Amino acid sequence: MEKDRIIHDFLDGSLSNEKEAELFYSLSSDDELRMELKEQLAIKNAIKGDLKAKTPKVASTMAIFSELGFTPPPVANIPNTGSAVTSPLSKVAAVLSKYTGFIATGITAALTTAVVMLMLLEPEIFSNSDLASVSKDKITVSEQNDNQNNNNQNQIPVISSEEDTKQESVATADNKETVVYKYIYITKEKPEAKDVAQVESIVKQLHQSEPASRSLPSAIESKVVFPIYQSPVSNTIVGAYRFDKTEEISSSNYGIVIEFRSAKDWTNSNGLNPASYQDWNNISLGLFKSVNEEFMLGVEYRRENFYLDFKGIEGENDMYKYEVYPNLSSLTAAVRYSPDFMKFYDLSPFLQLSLGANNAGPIGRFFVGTEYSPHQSYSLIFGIDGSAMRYNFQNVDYTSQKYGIQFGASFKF
Amino acid sequence: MANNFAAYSDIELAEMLSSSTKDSEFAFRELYDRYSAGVHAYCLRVLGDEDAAEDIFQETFIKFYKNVQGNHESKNIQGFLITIARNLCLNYKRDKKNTVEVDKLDFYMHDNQNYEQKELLDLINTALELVEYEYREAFVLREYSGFSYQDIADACEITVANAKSRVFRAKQKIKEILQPYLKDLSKLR
Repeated sequence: MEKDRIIHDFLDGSLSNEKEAELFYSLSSDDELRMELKEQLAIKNAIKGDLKAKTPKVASTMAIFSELGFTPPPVANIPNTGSAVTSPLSKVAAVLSKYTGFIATGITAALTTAVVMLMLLEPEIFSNSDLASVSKDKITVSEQNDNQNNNNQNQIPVISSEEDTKQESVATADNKETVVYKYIYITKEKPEAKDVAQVESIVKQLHQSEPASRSLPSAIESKVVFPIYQSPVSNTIVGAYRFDKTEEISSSNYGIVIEFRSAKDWTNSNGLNPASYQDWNNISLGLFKSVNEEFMLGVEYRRENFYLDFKGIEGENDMYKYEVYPNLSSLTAAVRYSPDFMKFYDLSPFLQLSLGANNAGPIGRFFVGTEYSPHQSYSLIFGIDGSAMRYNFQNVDYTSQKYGIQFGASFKF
Repeated sequence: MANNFAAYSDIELAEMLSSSTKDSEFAFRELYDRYSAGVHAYCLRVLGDEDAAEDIFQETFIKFYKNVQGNHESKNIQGFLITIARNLCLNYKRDKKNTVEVDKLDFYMHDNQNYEQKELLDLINTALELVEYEYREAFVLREYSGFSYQDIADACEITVANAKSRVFRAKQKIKEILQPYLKDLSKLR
């Protein structure tokens, strides 16, 4: 067997034990064989150290995962890995990103606890009864109204039958916009004709004493219902008060709003598919607190796709253009302004500005939209938003923007 | 990663790829971690053209994923990947004349690597491009991608003996081309 073949088989692990023993013996005396071994070992070692061949380019890895709609592996995931980075905000973002799971879990646990406590302490808020859902606020206001308008409430006797009330309720169904609620606490005495007349008189008096803007049109007045509810506690009328929708919406107890939204974004991604995150993609969760009737402050967590386009040097001074479409976790602080003068029926237009960061860099957003509130406890949200993100790769700053529509729902507590 | 996917076999991972669950992504990532180096080395060293190699490398994994999603039943994932890469490389070679760029004979210092080894590696890669395609392919699969002779035989559709022969012949050719350099290298040591 030729010397180069023997050495090849030896390095290949396919030389028999017998031949291997012969090789070791020969090596001590055969210079040519030793040289052959050195040469082949040098080739083998050189190939073993060929990291360039065995390391796919970051751009290729990102391209593959993006094409398949997957989130790239960590080493290629975010542009500011390696030498890049590192504004203080980016560091904060990195820390926030690292603890995103803990933060999300904490917020979820806190919210769940809050809801459970609320259910335990204020069960009527979660009741299906229409009366129960509005009673607390209405009675509170009614009591004020009562003090202003009614001087003889303690003298008001008993009234009405259930049948009358039902008929009146049917009659009011056509006139929802001008519903007037009135609460009268009564005793179980038998109704008499004169008592009914007295109550009607009081009601008329109350209407007259209301401001002009709140008084009912005469054509509708005849259909207005004054439901009367029995109470074992008192025999007094607590007053009448007219509610409009705006007051109803803003009358949440704690001023806390939880908001869920989804998004559809438009960006020029050159045909690149966004990376997906199957559990949560382009969805945001917000927690807000009302400061007053017009302002809310809060935080938003969002999983979102952001198309990034940047350049960098890789390997042996090769300049590459990278295009990635990763899925990022963003946390922003937000302020929402809903001007009173723009509120119209159930619609409440707003402007929201947000500042924060994600695991690529700082981010700022605007969001113009409107709330539609068919009920005081929840709203539907629709609007247009724009986001701009600053990021850094190999010490060069880049900015990326996107625009889209947002839609979702919020729940008020 | 939700589970320890490194513990799964290739076949199990391939089955996960066929499913539509989120495990599919993690399974793909695990297979990519396992075989991307070998496939990349194959593309780069067989073609000798970085841009083309990167394109084919990307296409290989994309085709692989789409094929496996179509319920491909290959039990040898690495072999399947190389078969895809090989077909793409052959298509590329058919369309492109085999040339060696002169400037690739230049070598240079690299910060992080031994100068001699880097120099030798450049020479090997240049010499590799001068070796016939069949021999080069078998050599790369053996030395770079770590294939067994059986796997090489399967991928290249030849016998095991033929695979061994091709690897050896490729090494001989490389040595012939590098002979002057190797002699100097031996003297220095």
